Amino acid sequence: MIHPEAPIIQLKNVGVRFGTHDVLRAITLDILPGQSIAIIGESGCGKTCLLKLIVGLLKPTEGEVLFEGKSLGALRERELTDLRLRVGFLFQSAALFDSLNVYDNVAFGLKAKGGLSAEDMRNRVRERLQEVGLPDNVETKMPSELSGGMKKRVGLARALALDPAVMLYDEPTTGLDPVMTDVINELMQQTRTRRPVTSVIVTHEMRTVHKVADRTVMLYPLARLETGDHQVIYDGAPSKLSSSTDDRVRQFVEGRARNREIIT
Amino acid sequence: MASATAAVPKTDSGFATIIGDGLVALGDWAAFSARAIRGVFSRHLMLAELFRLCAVVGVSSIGVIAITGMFIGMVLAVQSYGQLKQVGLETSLGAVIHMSVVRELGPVLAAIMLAGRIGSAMAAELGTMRVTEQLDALACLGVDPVRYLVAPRFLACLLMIPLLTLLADIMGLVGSTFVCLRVYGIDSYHYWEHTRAFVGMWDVLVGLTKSIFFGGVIALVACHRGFQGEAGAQGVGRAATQAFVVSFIAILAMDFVFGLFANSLHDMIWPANGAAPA
Repeated sequence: MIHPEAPIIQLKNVGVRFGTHDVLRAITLDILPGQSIAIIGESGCGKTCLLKLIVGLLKPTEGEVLFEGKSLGALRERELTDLRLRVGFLFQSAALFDSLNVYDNVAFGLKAKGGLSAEDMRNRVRERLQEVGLPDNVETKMPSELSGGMKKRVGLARALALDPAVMLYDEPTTGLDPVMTDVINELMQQTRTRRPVTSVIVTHEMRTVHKVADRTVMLYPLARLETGDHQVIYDGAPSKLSSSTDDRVRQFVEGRARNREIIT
Repeated sequence: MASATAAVPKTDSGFATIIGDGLVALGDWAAFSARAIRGVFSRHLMLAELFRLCAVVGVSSIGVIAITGMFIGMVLAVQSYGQLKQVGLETSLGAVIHMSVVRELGPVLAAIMLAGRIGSAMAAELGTMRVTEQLDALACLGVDPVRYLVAPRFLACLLMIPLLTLLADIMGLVGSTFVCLRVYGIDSYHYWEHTRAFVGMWDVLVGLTKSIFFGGVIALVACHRGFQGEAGAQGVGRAATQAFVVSFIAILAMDFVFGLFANSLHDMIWPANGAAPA
């Protein structure tokens, strides 16, 4: 994949603090257009915070986040809204709107953005639902009638409806069976091949990392970090993860518990 | 954009900290309310959603407000009759009860029922949406969650509560009249004459006007609590409880302030004898 030189997303020395609790500290990351980057790490190390920083749902307490060279902190509300329309977000729980059926969920962003006729909107919704492997008859179903895998697919269709330049996936395969995990991985891969989209995937699933990512960043929980150590303990190709010289990286990849975590 | 420091569990104690936290929360609520009120004038306000919410807030509250309004009127009649009869003023019961119902009990009762029934439900609904990341999803789809969710709820409460108050007033009047005229056999002519002499349009307007403020505050408090809801079933439950408790206190405090203000205004407009034209 060709990567023009300018990063589409930049995190410059970013820190996030909730009261006295530091979640992210001094994170610096450049994400190039078209890249597919997996963010891995233990629960609570700040992976989801990082995604929310990128789309402006969280403000950094230190540093700045830039989207196409513009600092999110300097954007006005209207500009931030326009930016968000260029970013698709697949939430961990899919976050479908309970009171709307599948069609209205997928069409929601299109209606908010405006500019499409009713017929074009219908066609776009059907196209996206087909793209994620859902039949037309699912359109009238309510989210409560869908399985976990179907919800994720509808969430993906909704995120893709606006043809985003960047796709953010928050643990897209969590809670799914192995077959559905593979289906979602395949859909993420297809999304990349069908359109020039930059992907940032937060995941614990190593199969997802190997299948979809061409770069992996591993975060380490600040609470267990030695003073002065960097929170990003790995930044490189997924294929080199298991041969990392850092034992913490290998431990995560192999799924080994630390000694003190073993309950006797 | 949410601040990373917003959802901080407070650990400090002390009076100054409590006051400081209270002021911060009040400021946060004021900013939230300003955004919601701006949303009312936004072109994105969805009328279909507004009508649905008006039905939820208004139509579905009719039964409970009618019943409670009627019983409040009946109870007032029962409680007041003995005392006024002792001094031979039982025919004044209409004036006493109807004045209380129209100016105080009707608006406050409708507001409290709305806070308990609708406010808590709103806080729980929005709290669940927050926990399940639906609020974040709205923002990601280019929609301001405050304008989209809070503005129509605010407007629905604002529009419906005067009608519910009027219903509570009427039912209170029906209940008290039934007890006074049918149960205690008070002379209807004197009963209505006293009512007409002491209860005027001013009293009805005071009651209805303050109910509008109550409705607005109920919606804004409930939605704010929902938006600030913490994770988990307990967090959602806490948001619903807080919505009711804060609304309840706010209603009574506003009622007091509004009462003082209305009396001062009345004296300013009709300084001579203090009686408003009926």
